[in-house]
Amino acid sequence: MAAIQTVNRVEKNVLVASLLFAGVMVGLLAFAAVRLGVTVPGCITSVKPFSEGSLTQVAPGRYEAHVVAKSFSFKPSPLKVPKGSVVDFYVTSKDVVHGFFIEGTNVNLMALPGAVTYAQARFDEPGKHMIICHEFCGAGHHDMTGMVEVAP
Amino acid sequence: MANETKDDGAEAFVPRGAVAFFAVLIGFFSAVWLSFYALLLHRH
Repeated sequence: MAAIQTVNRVEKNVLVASLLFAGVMVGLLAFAAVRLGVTVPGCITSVKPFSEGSLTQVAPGRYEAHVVAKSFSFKPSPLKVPKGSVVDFYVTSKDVVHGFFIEGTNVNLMALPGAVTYAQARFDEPGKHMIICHEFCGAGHHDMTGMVEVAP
Repeated sequence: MANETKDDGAEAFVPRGAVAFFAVLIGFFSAVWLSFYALLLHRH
């Protein structure tokens, strides 16, 4: 008959204390997650305003354009602003790496998934400025354009 | 001699040093862990 091995009392207490310690940690984390709603921060580009395209006037003559590049378009497009406005461009991508170039300006950015790139431009003359994707992004890359329309 | 065994059997060995070390270890890591937990809740 096999001998039944008993666990030493001190060893048993240490094992119980260790398991209790681990259990308390897991319990506190579960409490924070479930009852308090504490979560791991997500990607900045999955929260507004970066997750959606928008053009907002923030002050007279001052605009904020949040542009989301997606195969194969820019949202929002067209971006309509009056003559003399200063526009802050915040650009990101929903899928692959795209380019963001506004012809006739210094705005020359990459649209990267999970990141936000920034540039500012002033539009003094009425007219149209094409937005071009200049980073190969797939079959429709050559057709991927947007427009900035500057009203008189 | 001190610590002579009693007539009715040997005194059970208790690793007091190891237990003390374990208690300090648990205490120290509890303090560290709880500090970061409090910071997590504060930042939430």
